[in-house]
Amino acid sequence: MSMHLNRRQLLRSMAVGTAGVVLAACQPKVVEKVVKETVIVEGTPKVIEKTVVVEKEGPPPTAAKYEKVIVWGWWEPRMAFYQDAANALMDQNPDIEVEVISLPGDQLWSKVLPATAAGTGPTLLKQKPTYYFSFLDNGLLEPYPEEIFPIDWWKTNFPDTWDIYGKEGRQYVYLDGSMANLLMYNRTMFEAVGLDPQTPPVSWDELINMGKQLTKTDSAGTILEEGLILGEYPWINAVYQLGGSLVNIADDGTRTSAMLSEPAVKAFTWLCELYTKHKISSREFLTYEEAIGTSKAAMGLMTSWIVGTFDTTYPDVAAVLGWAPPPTPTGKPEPVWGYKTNVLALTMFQNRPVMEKEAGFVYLDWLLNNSDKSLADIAEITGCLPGKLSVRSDPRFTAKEALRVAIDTLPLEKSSVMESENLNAVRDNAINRVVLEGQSIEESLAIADQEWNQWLAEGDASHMA
Amino acid sequence: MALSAIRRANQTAGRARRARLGGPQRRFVWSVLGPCILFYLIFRFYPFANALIISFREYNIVSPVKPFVGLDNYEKIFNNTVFRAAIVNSFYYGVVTTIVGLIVSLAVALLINGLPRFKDAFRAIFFLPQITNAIAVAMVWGWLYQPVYGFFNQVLKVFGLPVIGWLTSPQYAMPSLMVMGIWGGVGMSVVVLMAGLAGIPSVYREACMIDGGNRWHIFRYVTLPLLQPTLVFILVTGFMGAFELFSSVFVLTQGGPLNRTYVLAYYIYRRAFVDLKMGEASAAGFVMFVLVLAITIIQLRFMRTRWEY
Repeated sequence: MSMHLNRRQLLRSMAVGTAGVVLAACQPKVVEKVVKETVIVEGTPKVIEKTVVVEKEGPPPTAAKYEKVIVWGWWEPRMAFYQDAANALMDQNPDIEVEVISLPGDQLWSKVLPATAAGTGPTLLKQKPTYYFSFLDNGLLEPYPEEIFPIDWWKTNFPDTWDIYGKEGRQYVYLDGSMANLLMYNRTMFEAVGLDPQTPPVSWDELINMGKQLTKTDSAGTILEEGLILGEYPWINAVYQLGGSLVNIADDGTRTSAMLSEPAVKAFTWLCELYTKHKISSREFLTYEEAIGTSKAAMGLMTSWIVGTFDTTYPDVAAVLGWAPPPTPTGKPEPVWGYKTNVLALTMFQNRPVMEKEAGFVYLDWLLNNSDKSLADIAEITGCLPGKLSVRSDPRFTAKEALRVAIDTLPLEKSSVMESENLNAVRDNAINRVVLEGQSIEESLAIADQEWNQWLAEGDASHMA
Repeated sequence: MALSAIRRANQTAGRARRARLGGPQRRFVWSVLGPCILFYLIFRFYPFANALIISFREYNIVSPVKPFVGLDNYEKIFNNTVFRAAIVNSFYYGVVTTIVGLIVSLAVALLINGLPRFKDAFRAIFFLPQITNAIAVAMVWGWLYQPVYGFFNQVLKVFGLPVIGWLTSPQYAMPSLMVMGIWGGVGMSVVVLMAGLAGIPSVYREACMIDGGNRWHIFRYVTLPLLQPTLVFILVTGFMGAFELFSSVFVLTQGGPLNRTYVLAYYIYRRAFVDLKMGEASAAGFVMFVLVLAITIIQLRFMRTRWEY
């Protein structure tokens, strides 16, 4: 028996077949859902996977009320805690789904910026000071609703957030926490050279003297082990300790460079001499984490976010690290111990649909009022003192030496908007010109001053004090 | 007289061919060409034209206001010391990596071509960096260049030599990136050169040998002239590729130390996505485009032969 198909029949049967395949693919199917959950094991966050339910995939039963909130951020361990709070909310409120997406560091911003311009960004974004004020000043952020987060609530729970990051009486972001600038030192290396491991340096002179005892060099003078390594923001930290600033603010709000001011020059000279005169540090050495983490540097000055990195990446060395406030010119905390940085948390995009924003604020309400554990988890893993006051009483912040020292140090450190990346570059180039190329401090600072003025004229560091 | 006659004949033939295309053929031609043209217009021409327009605006990607500022962005970037340093560094990197890379590639291609066996295996080995993720490659090189535990400094220590801050010293940072770039680019050049070598008929070499030529003579008077189109291709594409240097700078040096590794592509990225100055970034992109175009034209003008062997 032969069967003939004409072209029309062939096309029809292909169309019917394709439609069948599409319909079959759309059919809800029974699946096992694998859920990621973060647990703390000996102070270290671990992401575990577990199969929790067998259910039918497809649209939720309450599709009419269903809203999805998307949260973007970076660094998976931290984002996992945001997801934990979201999971707890979704258990209580099945009409809302919160999807927390973690993207790799800098790639996040290459994605966020075009998405923001195109109106396809997330509901909530983990913020960064580099971009926050651009977003805020261009009206892209939705203020937190006063009916959920009244002014008194902010002042009671997030006092640090209120002062710097608000605009025209409205609040657009809260803080995950604040990070202290701290001295960390390797107690084993202290003991090895006969220094008391319980007595870290408190003044600049002590820091230099101990640094000299701890520095090891080869016969050619190349540093094998650094007495001191400088982390982020060493210049501004020293300038604040001397009561100065790197920015002059005129009465009309115009900002100009203060790099040639007396405190700035004194602090810069001190920094450069750590490399050139005292030779306790090197510009051509390991990264901060590697140097401290592998016991190739005995002391370091750094913001406290590094605590979590050492705990997870270099646990052996983390166990012997001691922590102290940063040494000051006089050994006393006046005018301040130094510079502290704030870690911004979630902001809401103004251009999202109304219902999505409402659902987003339901999540934020849940996170900020019912998820103190998640807030504490996030603060702990980022080496912060929590932004929410009540969370600071969580025992883990007093049990851990680094965070205990941070709690004592933070109130006497100056809070400011985070130093801009351009200022970092100006600073690094200025130090490198002196240390690596032998330029005089005056010449190098004159160039840095000019560069910094150019950046300020462009509007860089527009909120820095 | 003769030339114009040929041109007229060609035009007539073209018209005749077009006239011969019936409706179905024309539809077929457009159905095949249409998507390609559409793709080109949407994904190539539109971004290109839009970038040119953006370069005349003060364009902060997150700002709703993007005023027209004429040539201000071009003036700003040319007054910027980092941009000028980026141009110099890009040229420096491009010239060295392209020329040294070509010499190394030619040597490797000749060596592999002379092997009696395993040519394909060696070609594949040299080609591997080309298909490896650029970020992963940069990270591995970062470990090799690491100042205390890195391979290169360990070798120096074995010979009692002082260690070098490969990526932290203003003197060595750019040469270190160049070594990486040459290593990464040799594979592709070797493949192209081997294809070029395979296209040289053996009769020319034999003729040269009969005339008493040695290996140098064969290389100098047979291989090199006949490879010239391939060499020009590698020089032109190599220089274009070198100007796009980004991943190793992004991963390893961030333009430092002292802006010695600040290159144009990295400047454009920083200006666009860190400083949010899309207008200046687009202007810098166009300057880069014009520079590469000019260099390519010069290369083709002076190096491409008007004859074929």
